[in-house]
Amino acid sequence: MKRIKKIILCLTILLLSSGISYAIFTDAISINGTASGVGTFAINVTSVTVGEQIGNVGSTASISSDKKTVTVDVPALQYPGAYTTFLVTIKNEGTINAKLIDIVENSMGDDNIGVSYSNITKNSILTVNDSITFTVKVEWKASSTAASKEGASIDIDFMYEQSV
Amino acid sequence: MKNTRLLVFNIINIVFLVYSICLSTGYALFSDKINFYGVARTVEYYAGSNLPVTPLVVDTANNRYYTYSTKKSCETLTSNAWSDSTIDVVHTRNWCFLSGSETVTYTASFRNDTVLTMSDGVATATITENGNNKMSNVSASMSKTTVLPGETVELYLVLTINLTLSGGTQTARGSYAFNFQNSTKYVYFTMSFK
Repeated sequence: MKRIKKIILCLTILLLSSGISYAIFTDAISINGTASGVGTFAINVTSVTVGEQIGNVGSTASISSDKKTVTVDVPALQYPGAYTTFLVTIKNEGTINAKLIDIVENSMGDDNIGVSYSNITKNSILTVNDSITFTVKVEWKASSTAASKEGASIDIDFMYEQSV
Repeated sequence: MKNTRLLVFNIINIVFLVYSICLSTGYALFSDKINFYGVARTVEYYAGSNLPVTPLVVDTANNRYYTYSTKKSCETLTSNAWSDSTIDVVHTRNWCFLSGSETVTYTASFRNDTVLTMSDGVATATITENGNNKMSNVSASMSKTTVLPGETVELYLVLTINLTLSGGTQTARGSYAFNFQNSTKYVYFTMSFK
């Protein structure tokens, strides 16, 4: 029986120490009030507009109904160096501060088309009710002359997580 | 007593375990992803300095790419051809009674069959060969300086030529420049007399 007690005691200490060492848990629960169910985490796109169109016309942009996806179309880049910019505004509409932990660029399918962004950086904090407007530039790379007419897919994920 | 203590320990452990699971699950929910998605397409790219044009046969009766304002019996068409973006016309002299020089307007035409606009047209002309100085007053112009997709434009080359025999060889060259795909590209119209 003593042996069982020792095992249970060890397990208890192990669990406690792991919980304490992962201090972020404690912080998160105290800040968010998750246990009481009052915290909400809502990072949404509130605006997207077409900015400059150089060597290109007819670009469009829209926001999905759940405010999580921006869909753009750049129909006819006319020459290397031609581009369209999009102004995207993201707002923290929840009750928890958020941090941009990563920007993931998925495969484009055509190396001759480039996508870049400005005014947004990893690890930037978006506090409650705050918003950020950044620019996404879709370009037929100036150094390239062989882009596909079929089109290149654009797919970027902006990954947010609660900030403690 | 021992069993009671064991029970308490077990309850504490279970509660803590459930608490940990709930906490970690709750934390995982507090993340979000904004996705920027779309498609970008390009048009066909035309490399080099030649303007991509579709030449037109403007004198369909004689199957020629050009017309001219004055025809003399002492000149004969030797050849007319479009190659890349250049129309080359050669006339040869015949024996005839002719005095003095003649000012003639030569006209060629092309159509813009691309999906892009050709803009900022500028025409210039030079004499590239002038045997016995029998050619003079060369100039070039065009019917419009912006050619939309599907539109046609006329190219004019005006020159004064003396067609008397033993005149040597004379060549005039009209250059027609347009802005296309953000670079300057050219069409040429050359008239030679031999």
